[in-house]
Amino acid sequence: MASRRTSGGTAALALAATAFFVSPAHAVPAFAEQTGQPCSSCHVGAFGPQLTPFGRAFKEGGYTMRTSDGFTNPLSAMAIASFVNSAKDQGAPPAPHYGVNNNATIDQVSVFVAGSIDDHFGGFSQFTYDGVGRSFSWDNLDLRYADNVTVFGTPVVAGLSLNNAPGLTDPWNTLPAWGFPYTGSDLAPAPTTGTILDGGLAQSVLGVSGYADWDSEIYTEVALYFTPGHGFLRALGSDFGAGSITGVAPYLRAAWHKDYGDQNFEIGVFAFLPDLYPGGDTSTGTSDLYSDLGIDGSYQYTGDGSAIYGVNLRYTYEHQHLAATNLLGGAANLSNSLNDIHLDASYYWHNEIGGTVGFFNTWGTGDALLYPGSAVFKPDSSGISFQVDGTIFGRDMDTLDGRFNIRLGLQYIVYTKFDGATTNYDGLGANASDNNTLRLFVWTAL
Amino acid sequence: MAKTEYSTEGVSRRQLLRGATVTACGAAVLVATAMQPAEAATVTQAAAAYQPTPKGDQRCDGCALFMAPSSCKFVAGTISPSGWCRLYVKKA
Repeated sequence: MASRRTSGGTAALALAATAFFVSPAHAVPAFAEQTGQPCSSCHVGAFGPQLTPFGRAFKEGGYTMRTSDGFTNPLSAMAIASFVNSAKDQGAPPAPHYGVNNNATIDQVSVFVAGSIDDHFGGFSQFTYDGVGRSFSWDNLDLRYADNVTVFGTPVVAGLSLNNAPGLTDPWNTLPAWGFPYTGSDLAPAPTTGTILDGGLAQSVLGVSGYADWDSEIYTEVALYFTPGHGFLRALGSDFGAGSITGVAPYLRAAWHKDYGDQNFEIGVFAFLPDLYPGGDTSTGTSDLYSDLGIDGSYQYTGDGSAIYGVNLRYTYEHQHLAATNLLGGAANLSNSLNDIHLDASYYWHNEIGGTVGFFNTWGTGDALLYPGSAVFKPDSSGISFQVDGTIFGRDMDTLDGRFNIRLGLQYIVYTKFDGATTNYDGLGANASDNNTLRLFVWTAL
Repeated sequence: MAKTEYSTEGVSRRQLLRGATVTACGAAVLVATAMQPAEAATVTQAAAAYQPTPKGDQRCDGCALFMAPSSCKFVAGTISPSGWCRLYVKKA
């Protein structure tokens, strides 16, 4: 068994790995059968996690809407395969059994159990085989109770969720859990730093959140997350991720949103405040406190469905008080900060052909021990992501009653800054642009 | 080094959490007493892009989700039999 003593640097690496490599890929045809609706009713582009107004309402309603009281098959499956090319060979193979460039792989195969029990209980649970790591683990979990109620004369959709990642419950595609890009590969080079909310604790925690959408205009959510026992996580193929929460960690969310039929918008704020033992290491008797505070916004023009435009924006400020990591020798500073901004704009033609452009920029305090892979000891990375994709089915229920769909996509990521600098970022002559990545992917759902 | 070095000024993190939890519970009780149970989940008419007029030969009274005389399984509010929305599913 590997040692559970983890340095701050290793913790940062673990955080980075989860932050940038984990894909939020999501496609659940069982819900199509349950609702009698094609993929395009819930998903922009008839595929994946980008939600329409109806998709958001279905999620807030606890995944309970169904066309009939009869039995519907709760099982779904999903697979993603890809070919990855980087501008220059990577310094070492990104994973055992692969080369330093031009890798083809099955990224993941997932099974979902999804559905509703009655008018109020519903959810989904995802189990994934990681084709690169060659291991099984639990993946996204969201089990809900929801009800439509009236509070002081105001209609409210209210519910509770048991889930395993902060932000997983969110109805919009601005936060990291469901944000662009909606699929990625562990074989692609990626920056080593991200915020704790950006997947740092995904599938390493359990939480209960209470949410309410007031008069379809004000969305509020409060959640508390804790770290299950190490044995529990290991049994599910997971680990502590960036760290184990010392008690419970609060997650807070509020958003103002409005739907006008052919267009809608959302403006919100969010916060996640975990106090962590880095890598689960309690030996210092102290911990690291992260404070992620952010704002987000989205706009969608859905029109009559023949042309759908969307914009998503997120800015996160993270304050890190690294008392434990500092004592463990993993951070030179006691306090650091990190800033992260993501902006993406997409267009989908008839829910069939789509194009998305995303801009990302991460910057923060320099720290010689926390960012040893950077010649300037900085976390800064920035660039632009492009994606074009085509989705073959999902606009009606004709193919296997709406239970089968395929998306083909091409991604290209351009790095203007990588791990601290544009040129010679590692002190060994590597430039940010060496990591520019072309990825061709096939994504199927059944 | 003290574990809560960062929380010794003013209100500690633990106190803040405790206060937030108590406040949240209090608010939940208050809301619960004011709540009136309603029906299963539905979407707003705007989210479904509902219109009170048909779209071609597609009308609400020909949709599998329509519940006579004037409601819908998925869409909230009063629904016209001759209306239409984006969730239209032809009645079998």
